[in-house]
Amino acid sequence: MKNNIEKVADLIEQARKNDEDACQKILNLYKGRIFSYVYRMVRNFHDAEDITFDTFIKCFKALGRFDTSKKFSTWLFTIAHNTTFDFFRKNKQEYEYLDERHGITDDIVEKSEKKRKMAQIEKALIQLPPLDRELVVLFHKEEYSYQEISEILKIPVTTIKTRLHRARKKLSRLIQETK
Amino acid sequence: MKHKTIEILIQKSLDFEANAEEEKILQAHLSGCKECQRFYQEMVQIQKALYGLTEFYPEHGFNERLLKKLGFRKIFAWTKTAKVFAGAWLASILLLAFSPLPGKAINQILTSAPALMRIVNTGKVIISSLSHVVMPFAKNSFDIVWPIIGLVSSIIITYFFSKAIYPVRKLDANIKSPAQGQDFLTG
Repeated sequence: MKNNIEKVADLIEQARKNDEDACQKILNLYKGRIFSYVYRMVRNFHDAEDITFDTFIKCFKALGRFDTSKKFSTWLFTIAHNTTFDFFRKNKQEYEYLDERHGITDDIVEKSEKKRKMAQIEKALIQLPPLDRELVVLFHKEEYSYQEISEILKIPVTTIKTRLHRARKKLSRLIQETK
Repeated sequence: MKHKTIEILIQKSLDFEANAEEEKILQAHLSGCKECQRFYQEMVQIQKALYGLTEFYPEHGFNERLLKKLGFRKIFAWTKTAKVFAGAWLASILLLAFSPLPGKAINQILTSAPALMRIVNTGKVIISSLSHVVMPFAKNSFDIVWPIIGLVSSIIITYFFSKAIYPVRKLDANIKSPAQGQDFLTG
């Protein structure tokens, strides 16, 4: 674990010196995670790709100001979150209540999920309100702590706990309904 | 104990937040309550499934597009090129100036291989042309000063060449940092 952190720190240092290989390695390390997170939020492949693209552009351009005492992935997810939020705002979509006005999009499931169980989870996941979905992905998929999520989303830990609890219960109910 | 309290303990346990005493209470309750047991199993299943969520990837060529946008493809690694350029330049000058082979021996080798002779002649023309550009004051004889001037000149020429042809990437310092990002709950 420590080696990985040191490796990332080295890559960041090299990327700051405009080392193309280091930037490539950073991209390869994080693009899947960022893209998956954004994709689950916006539910459209091309929009997700654009947001991921902008996220990394902002990341590399602001890399000089990144505080190396902090966790890089948390910082990167903060940029991804802000960029996704900007996307929602520009498209005049309500972040909190998006699910109320958008139907269930099956393209994630149809294109990428073959296993029935995973399809059920994905289907249930996209029915959660965006913030709850974001919390679930960050906590369970990305394995961030409450504190780290609080840093990324700028919301209190207590809110995260409550909403995560609620989200899991809702997920359970949604999965039961699709069975 | 109320199911609602146990539900909270289940969530705490799943998030590794429950202490030893809470775990004990939870396990004791679960062993005698089918309803809470079912809820616990559901939560465990969901957690497992969420950990195994598929990772998606952007389309092929994403890295290339991004690096191009950042200007990497236009970067001319002038420092690396200058080293090669200067090294080759210095080696050729030193070879000409301090060649261990006497002129007679070189001529014998060259006349026995006409193809090699043609290559050497072409090289001589090129080196001679370059010498007049880089070292305009050079005469026929070589001095230790000239290789040094050649080295410095080659670095300067390579540097200006790279500047003129390839714009150096400049990072924009005015991008909004995540710390300044808006809080989405307050808008």
